[in-house]
Amino acid sequence: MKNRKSLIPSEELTDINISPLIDMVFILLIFFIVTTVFVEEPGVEVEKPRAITSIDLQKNSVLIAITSSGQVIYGGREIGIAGVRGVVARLTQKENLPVILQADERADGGVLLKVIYEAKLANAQVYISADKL
Amino acid sequence: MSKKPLSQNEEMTDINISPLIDMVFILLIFFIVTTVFVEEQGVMADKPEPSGKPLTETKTLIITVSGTGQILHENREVGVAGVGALVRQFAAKNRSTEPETVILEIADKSQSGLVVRVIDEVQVAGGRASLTPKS
Repeated sequence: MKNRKSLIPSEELTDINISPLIDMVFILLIFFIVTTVFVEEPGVEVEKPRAITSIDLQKNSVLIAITSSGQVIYGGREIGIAGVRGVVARLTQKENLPVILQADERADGGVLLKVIYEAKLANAQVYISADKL
Repeated sequence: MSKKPLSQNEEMTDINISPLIDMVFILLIFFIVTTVFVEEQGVMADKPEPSGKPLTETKTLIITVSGTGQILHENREVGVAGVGALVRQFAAKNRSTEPETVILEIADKSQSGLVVRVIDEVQVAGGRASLTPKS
């Protein structure tokens, strides 16, 4: 009887209180859920131009890249100038997302302009990505 | 004696939360892995709004970005640095209070980096750039 009693309190003492850990994990989880946006990256490396007046843009957006060789890329696939309107129209019909064009510095201005016009035809707000100087 | 059944009963009501915690950890790892913190910055790309009025050259400033990398205004080379002065001069002449709309004619084979630089210059000078193809 005596032996048993002393064993049980000892076991209880070795139990670590994990409720603060769980609280913290929940807080982290909520933080990551709230900050996550599922934006499809174009997946190509472009050299962005720089601009003084460039403004911070919304995270949730349609990202379209224009490479120096004139390829128009969305989500890792080349869609071409003609495909821009369809993609933008499909993605912006539920909510009004802006279109951000990641145009390479050496990309053709004519292609850039055509892509802007195609995106505008789908009633989207268009921005050209440029790093702040 | 009456204490013993009570403590047993308390132990029975304890819910096992370890699967819940496992699940929360898995969700946490998923969201950590999928989160990307990209801050996109950029300039607005606008096109002229269709209006009934024809564009008269005296009312709107038109700047051309040529395919050879020249910045032209009325067939005169102004360069990127001259754009700001041109816009300010034009705004002063018009005495307008709202941002001056500047039409940028973009030729084929021009560089988009140059286009962005001209848009930037226009915005620094307090104007709004509107892009249109060079016919």
